[in-house]
Amino acid sequence: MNNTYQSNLVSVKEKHTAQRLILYIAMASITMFFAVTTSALLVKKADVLNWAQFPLPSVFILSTVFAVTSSVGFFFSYKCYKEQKFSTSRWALFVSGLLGVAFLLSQFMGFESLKAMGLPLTGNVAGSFIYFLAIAHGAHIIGGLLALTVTLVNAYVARNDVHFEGAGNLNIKRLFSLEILTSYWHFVNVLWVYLFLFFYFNYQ
Amino acid sequence: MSEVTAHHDSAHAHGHDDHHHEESWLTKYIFSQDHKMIGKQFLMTGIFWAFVGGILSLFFRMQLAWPNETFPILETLLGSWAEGGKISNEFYYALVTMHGTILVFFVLTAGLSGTFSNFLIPLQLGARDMASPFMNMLSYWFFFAASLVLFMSFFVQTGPASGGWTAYPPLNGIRDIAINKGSGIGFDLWITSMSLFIVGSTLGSLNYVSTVINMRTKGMTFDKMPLLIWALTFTAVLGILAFPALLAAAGLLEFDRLLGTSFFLNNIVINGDLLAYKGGSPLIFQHLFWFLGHPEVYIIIFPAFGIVSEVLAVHAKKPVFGYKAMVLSLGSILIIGFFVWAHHMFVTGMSPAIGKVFVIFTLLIAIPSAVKVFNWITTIWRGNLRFTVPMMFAIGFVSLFISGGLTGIHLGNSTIDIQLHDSYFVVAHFHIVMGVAAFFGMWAGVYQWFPKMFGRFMNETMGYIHFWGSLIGGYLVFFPMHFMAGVPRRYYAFDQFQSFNNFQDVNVFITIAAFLVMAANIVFLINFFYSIFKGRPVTEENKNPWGANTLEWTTPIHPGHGNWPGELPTVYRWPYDYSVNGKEVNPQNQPLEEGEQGH
Ligand code: HEM
Ligand SMILES: [Cu+2]
Repeated sequence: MNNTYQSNLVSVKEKHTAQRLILYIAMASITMFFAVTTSALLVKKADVLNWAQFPLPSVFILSTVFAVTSSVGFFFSYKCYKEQKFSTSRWALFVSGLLGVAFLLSQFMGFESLKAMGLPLTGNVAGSFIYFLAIAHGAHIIGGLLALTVTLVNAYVARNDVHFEGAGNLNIKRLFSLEILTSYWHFVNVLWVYLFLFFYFNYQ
Repeated sequence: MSEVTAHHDSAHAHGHDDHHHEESWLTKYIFSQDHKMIGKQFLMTGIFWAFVGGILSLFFRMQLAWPNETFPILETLLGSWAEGGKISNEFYYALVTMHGTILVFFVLTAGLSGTFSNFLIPLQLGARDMASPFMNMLSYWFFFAASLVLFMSFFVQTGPASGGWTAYPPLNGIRDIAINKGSGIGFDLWITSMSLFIVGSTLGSLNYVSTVINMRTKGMTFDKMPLLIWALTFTAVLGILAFPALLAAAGLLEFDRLLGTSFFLNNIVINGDLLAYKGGSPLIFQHLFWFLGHPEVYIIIFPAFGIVSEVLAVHAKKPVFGYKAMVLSLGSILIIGFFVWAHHMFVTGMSPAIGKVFVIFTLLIAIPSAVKVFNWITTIWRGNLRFTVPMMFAIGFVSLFISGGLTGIHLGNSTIDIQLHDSYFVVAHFHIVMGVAAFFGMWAGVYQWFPKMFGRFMNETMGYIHFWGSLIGGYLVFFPMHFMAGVPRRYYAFDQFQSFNNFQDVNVFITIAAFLVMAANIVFLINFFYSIFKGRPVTEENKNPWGANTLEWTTPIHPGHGNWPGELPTVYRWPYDYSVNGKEVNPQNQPLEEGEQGH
């Protein structure tokens, strides 16, 4: 009983529209995660007796710089692919990836300076919340970096594709995956900027 | 831009080639990306868990009815958990915890919305499949993994989680089996399972929403969508926005347990020793939990709302009454549902002013709920009713929803709730309004769409036995619990307390009724599996057996992947054109007649 109706599969364009929406809704879901967790932080902070006062480690400013520049790099990579400058696009993607790794390292340095201030993970809840939120956010960055690696490898393998890149033509499917990845990457970086501002105003 | 489209077309051709693979047994039945098969996978897994969860409840009901008797069979079945034929107190708590978790998440969430969203969204919208069939498959396999992990937890030495389905800290926040065996690895597995479950459920929900927005066939405007699709879409939205709170709660709790943070723990003393946890608040966990927990009850009941709306209209051969009001009330329940969570926490010492806000929102939500009830009743009022099995279950649902909803209004008043909280009155409330009612919605759906799922009918006589056994049994189990409003829930035995022990006879009565419900459902189980293989087949003349207007019945009896062999159907009318144009049934793809006004 092989009754798959092959001739009627959905067009690629329609599929892409639907999948783009999936990403946007997923962003709403991730946003909720951070919204409820930062709300929990505020509720806990209202309990002043148990809330340590300390300044936010300044290396988190560096994280913010990495996040923003990495997003710019992504924007550039996507733009270049669209303009059929495939090699530049790949390089921009690569550099953005490096900036993503640098972001993670700077987060790690942030943890180290928290520890140096006498706030290890298991210390005061005020500090623990920073670790928790940064780790939860970092997990999203790692996810993005994995996807970036796959995209980059694919782009490298396809650089001589006779139908598309090799002949100077756009591949709509690869353009789409780059678009999805770019949107996601902007999103997680904006998320960091939100967390940074949130921390900045709540830890003085 | 023109260049982009040109290449888009060639990519399109490629896309087709990619899809040309023979279906093997493995891709057809196991790693299927066909939404219909995935729906059936959710249903089968849900049914499996329903029986596991049900059997667990029989075990603890036996303990409650006969706390001083011994049953050698229990020792045979449960081994060291029931030494000498008597369930140990620790295992009792594991039983209630697992029962709640399994029924709420695995059966009434995955088994209900998972089954019907998958099976029916593309079919009723006239779509080939979901927006992302691959993610859809992943959604099932995450659920399966969650199932496996929770199932495994029954076999670890210290037993499964036993701190309640609500998983409150501090009991569940400390990984010390000296306090509670179930707080050991059993609870870690619980958290793992829930996290997998949340990922799976989210993947599914993202897909459902995107499919509904993007993949409707020609003419299927939003105002022509069946109410069931509205309900399933809102269910998905609830899940997308509420489950992250449980994930956050679970993550923070696991940090406390494994890494030693103090998010939810403060100055805990065990056997005279002060533990290192300092400064946390267990109440924050409750807030996070119920921020999911309350929307979760609507995640469970919305699909049942939708199924019942369809079934009542089809079998009454009448247009659904107040279509717009139905959609609007679903929408307002969705929104208000996010602002009532603290009605589960009236006794936590919250400020009366805040309590009052939550009372007001809670009572407010009763209004759209009542609107729906009135509309269902008006839909069948003076209809040409066919008392088929799905119809019986749908009517039963309305009865149960009223009975259970009314007690919600009592509980929603904080002054009354302070007396009733954590008593059997609450158990009665949520089992009738959610437990039994949602099951009735699910069964109505199973009997209604079984012919479409398997191309065969279920046996009717057995269906009626199942219905009456469940309706009578369900009321007999949960109605008496209202009178136990002064008896605390989650006690292992009441024989030590004179005032509670007065209810001993009631407890025996309830337990016997619970066995009746199980018996009725064994009839269902036999009927279900027997009918898959040996039921009366659906024939070409009988392809639309209930005379429904919705599009799923316009597919072949055994639709393949892609659902319609030729063109997709075009929709001309809303789904409730029953008994118009001198015809009882006017399918959605039937063009309007000359001069006829579309709805
Ligand atoms: C008519 C509107 C409803 C109102 C006003 C209402 C109100 C309440 C209140 C105030 C409680 C807390 C009782 C306590 O713990 O002291 C409660 C518990 C509960 N309700 Fe409702 N409810 C309503 C409808 C529903 C529906 C439709 C469902 C599910 C489909 C539901 C499921 C539950 C559950 C699961 C619990 C208790 C969970 C637990 O403590 O283990 N309720 N309800
Ligand atoms: Cu509630």
